[in-house]
Amino acid sequence: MNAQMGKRTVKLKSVRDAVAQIAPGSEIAIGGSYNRRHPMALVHELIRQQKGGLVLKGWNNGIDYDLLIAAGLVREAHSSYVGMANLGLAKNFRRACETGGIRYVDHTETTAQERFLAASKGLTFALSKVPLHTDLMRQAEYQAEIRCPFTGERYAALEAWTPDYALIHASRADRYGNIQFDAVRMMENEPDIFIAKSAKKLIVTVEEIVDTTVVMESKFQTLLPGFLVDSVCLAPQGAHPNSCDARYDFDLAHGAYYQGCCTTDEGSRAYIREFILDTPDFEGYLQKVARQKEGKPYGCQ
Amino acid sequence: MNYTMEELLAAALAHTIADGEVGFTGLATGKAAAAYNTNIPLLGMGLAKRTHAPNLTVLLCGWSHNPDLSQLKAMPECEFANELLNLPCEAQMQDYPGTWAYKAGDIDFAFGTGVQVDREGNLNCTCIGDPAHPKVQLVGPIFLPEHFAVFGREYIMMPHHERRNFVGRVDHISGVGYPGGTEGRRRLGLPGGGPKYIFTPRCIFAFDGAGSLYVKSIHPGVTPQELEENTGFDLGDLSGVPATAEPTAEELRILREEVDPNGILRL
Repeated sequence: MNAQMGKRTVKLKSVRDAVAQIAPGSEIAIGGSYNRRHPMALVHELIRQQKGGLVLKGWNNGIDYDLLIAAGLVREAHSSYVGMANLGLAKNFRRACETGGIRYVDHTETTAQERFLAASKGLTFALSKVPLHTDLMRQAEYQAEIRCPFTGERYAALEAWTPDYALIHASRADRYGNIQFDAVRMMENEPDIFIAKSAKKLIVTVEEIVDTTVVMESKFQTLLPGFLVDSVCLAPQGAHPNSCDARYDFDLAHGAYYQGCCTTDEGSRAYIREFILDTPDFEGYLQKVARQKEGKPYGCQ
Repeated sequence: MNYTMEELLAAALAHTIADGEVGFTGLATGKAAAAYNTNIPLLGMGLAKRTHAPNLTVLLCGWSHNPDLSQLKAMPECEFANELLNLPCEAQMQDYPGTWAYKAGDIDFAFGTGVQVDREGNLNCTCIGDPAHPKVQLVGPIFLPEHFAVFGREYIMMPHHERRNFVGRVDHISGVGYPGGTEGRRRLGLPGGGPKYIFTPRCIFAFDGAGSLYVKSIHPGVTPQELEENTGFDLGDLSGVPATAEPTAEELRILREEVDPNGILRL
C-alpha cells in the first residue's frame, strides 16, 4: 500500500489574515471582561479592514465595544456592561445608544453567559430566573417564558448564542492552536472558554507562541485544545490597554487619553485614524503609544 | 463624638449582620459609588467580624475569600487591578460565574447601587428615560439582577439622596424589589430575598415583612422635613422615627485601628 503522508495543519496566521476571513455583517463574540483581556489586536484589525454591519455579543465589555461602535462598524450589540471601569462611561457606546445609532440589548452577566454556555453544550436555549420582572423582559429577546416540567417554576428562556466567530485573547499557544492560559491568573477563564466553544469559528490571539513540547510539558494549562481552534495569532500585549492578568496591568494613562479623545465624535474619529487606520498593525499602535509616553504628542487632544 | 458618615453607616450596617453569614461586595469605581458600595460594606463587615460575627465570610469581587486588606496601601483601582492577584486571602476562587451566581442561599447578603430607587425597592443602574430610547445610557445592569433575584438580602447603597434618586417609579427595573409586596414577589418565583435596607447620607430605610418601605432611622442632624423634601415619594408619619445610633468609642477604635489601619477605606 502506498500510504499518503498527511501533514498536520498549522493554524498560526497573522492577525491580518485571520481577520480577513470574517465576512462583513458577521456575529462576533468578544472575550474578556471589564478592562481585562479583551482581544484588542483583533478589534483593531476589524477596524483597519472596515468590517461593517457587525453584531457584537459579550457578557461584560469595554473599550472593545466602544471602539468598534465609534468606528461605525456595529449594527447591534449585546452585553451586561459596556463601560470603561475606573475611567467612567464608554462615551461612544453611550452616544450611539442615546441617538439610536445602534440596536443595543441589555443582559445580566449570567443571562449573557448562559446563552453562550447553552450553545457550547449543543443546547438550543438557556434558562434563567434572574431577569423575571426586570425591564430586560420588555426586550424582544426575553419574550419566551417557560415552566419547569417538574416543579412548575417560571423561567425566562433565551435562545442559545452561536456566533459566527469568537475572538479570544490568551497567554500562549503552539502553532497547532493548543491554547494555554497562565496558571497564575486573576480568576477562572470559564466564560472565555465557553464563549470560544459556542462559536462556529474561533480566532485566538496569544502573548507568545511556544513549541508543542513546551505545551506538552504544561498540559494542564491547555484549556482550549487545538481541534477547537481555527486560527491562532501572535499578538504580544494584544489586550492593551486592558490588563492581561499577571502579564500586564491595564494602561491607565492611555485609557485616560482615549477617554479624553472620545468626548466628541470628531475626537473619537481622530483617535481611530491616528492609532488604528494610520498604523500598519497592532505593533505599530503599541509603538505609537510608547512614543506618546515619551512625550511626543498625538493628534486629537 | 467625632465620626464620619462612612463610620456611622458602617456601624449601623455591622449591627444588621449575623454570625456565620457570607457577604459579597464588588469593587465599585467612582468616588461616591466606591464609598457606598465598597468601602462602607468592607468597614461594616470588618467591624461585625471583629465583634459579634467572627464567622462572617467576606467575599470580595466574587472570588477573594476573607482578603487581608491590611496588606493594601491603597484600594485597587478596579476589580482586575493586578495588586489583587497578590492580595492574601483564604481562597481565590477559580470558578466564575460559579454556582453561587445562581444558587439561592450561597450568598446571604450583598450590596448594590444605582441612580434611582423606588418605594417597591426596584433599583435602576441601566438608563435614564425610556429604555428603548434612553436619555442617558449608563453602563448596564451588570450583575445587579442576580443580586436581587438570587442573594439572601440586598443592601441598596445610595451615595446621593435627592428627589431624582428616590422616585415614584424607576425608569428601568434592573433589580427587582417587592412589586405587590412580599406576596407579589413570591408569585414572581424569584428565589432570593430581595432588598432589605437602603443606606443613604440622610437615613436608613428598611422593608418590613410585607415588603413595605419605611424609614428605620434618620441620621443625627437631619430633620424629617429635610428628608421629605429630598425624597420623591411619600414617607408617611416620621414623628416616631429614631435617630441612627452613633458608633461607640470602641466601635470607632476597631474601625480605625483594626479594620482599616492604613486608612484606605476612608475618604
